[in-house]
Amino acid sequence: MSMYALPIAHAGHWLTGLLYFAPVVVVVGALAWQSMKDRHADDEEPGDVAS
Amino acid sequence: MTSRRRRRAAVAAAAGAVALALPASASAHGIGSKQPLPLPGWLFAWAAMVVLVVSFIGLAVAWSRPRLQDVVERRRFAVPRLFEALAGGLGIAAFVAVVYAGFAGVQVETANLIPTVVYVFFWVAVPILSLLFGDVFQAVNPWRAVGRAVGWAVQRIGGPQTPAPLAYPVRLGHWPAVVGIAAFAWVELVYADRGDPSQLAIMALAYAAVQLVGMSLYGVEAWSARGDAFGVYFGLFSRMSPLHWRDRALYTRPPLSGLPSMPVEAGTVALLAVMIGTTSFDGLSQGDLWNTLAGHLQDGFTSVGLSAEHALEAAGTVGLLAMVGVVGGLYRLGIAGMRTVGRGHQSGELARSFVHSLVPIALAYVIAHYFSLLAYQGQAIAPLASDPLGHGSDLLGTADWGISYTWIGSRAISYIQVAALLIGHVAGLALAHDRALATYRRVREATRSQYWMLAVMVGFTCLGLWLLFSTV
Repeated sequence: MSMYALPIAHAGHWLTGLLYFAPVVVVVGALAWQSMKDRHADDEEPGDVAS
Repeated sequence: MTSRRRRRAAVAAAAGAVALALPASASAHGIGSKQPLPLPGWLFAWAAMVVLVVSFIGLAVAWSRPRLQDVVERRRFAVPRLFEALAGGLGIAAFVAVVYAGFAGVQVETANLIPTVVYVFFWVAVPILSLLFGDVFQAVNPWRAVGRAVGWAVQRIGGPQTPAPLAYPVRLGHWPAVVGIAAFAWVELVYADRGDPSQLAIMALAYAAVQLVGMSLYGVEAWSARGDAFGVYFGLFSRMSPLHWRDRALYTRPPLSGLPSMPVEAGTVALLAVMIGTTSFDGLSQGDLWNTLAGHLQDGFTSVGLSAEHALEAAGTVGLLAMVGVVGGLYRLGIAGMRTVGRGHQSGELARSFVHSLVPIALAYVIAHYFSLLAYQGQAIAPLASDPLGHGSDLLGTADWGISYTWIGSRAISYIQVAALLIGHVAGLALAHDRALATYRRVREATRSQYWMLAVMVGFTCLGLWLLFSTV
């Protein structure tokens, strides 16, 4: 097998490995979206203070 | 929805997520580290994400004020001073016996007592014992016992003329412990002669000598609390225990509550990065990805003149440092994110303030990566203790005991690994959330600041599962 075919031959291997870290991408994306929403939210009412 | 209904919904969702995280027994078998899995290992990562997100929501809804920052401990009973002396004497005797076995025993890793004691009992069992029973190591710490005995004798002889120890330098902090733990991990994971009994005995004596010098300079307690790498290491884990030994008395407290009050010194963040990073390298080093990378690195080092053995050690050193860097970098990313919330918080202050939340993760990684070693090789303590020198003796009548590999199956071990990772990261999340409530003025700010810690926890969990179950 040529050297160039090796990465393709192992692509399934690597993709499976990436699936382990896909949840991180999902969580970071969701939290980034939520952070943007929070910044645009109207903060008129006084925030509750941790007792 | 009322707050009580929201809390019930959050608890129900968390329970459902935990159930989802466990595979059905009919479809899963033989799950273990680096073995072909009938159930995709990456599925655990997705389930872990769900568990952590649901836990985060549950904390945001049901935990709205700090609960762990100021905890009252309850005194249960005291032990006589003699007990303290006996425990220290036991520790010294055990240390001398193990070191003697390293020098005088058969120089075969599997037949000599010292490798199993050091890499299995000391490095894996003691952290778990510390979680369950508090800082048991402090009671039997051999070099601390010697230091206290010598200090007592010197005081008796010198009286008021005895010079006071030097003040422990603030800048030194936990850095000696960082170096000690990193060095031990290097020996365990990289050093070619890691199993050589006499080499281990020499290193044990050298470590003890360093401790005695440190204690003589700065005082026994000041050095033990900061410079004794293993004392600090086990002490951190013991802060999660509901049992707290202090001034020869036993106190009880809520689990995890010892962590918020842990002293954070110079080097504490680095220490936690080393603890988690080195255990991560243990997992990485067993995979095909590392085998490929190590081969390239080794070729590079041999091309500059190193021998094959030293080139491999150099490659391992690079990998070890890289994993410590990855872990430290992930934590710093989370801190950088937290800094964007609210005002007036500096990165260094936040990093030190939240570093205690990494301790459960460090223990989770230890259990996840080393539990099978303890479960199987740990049984070898019995025959080895009976024949410590490997010369055919049978001091305890257990020399012919074998290792049972069937008392716990690989599926159970995998469940324990996943459970340890999940519980450790949920505990870390709870500690960080509690600290955020005490740090930020508003509950809303505290919750938003923990978005980043959630991302860090999910990242660490996915990394841990990838290291355990991926074949890459």
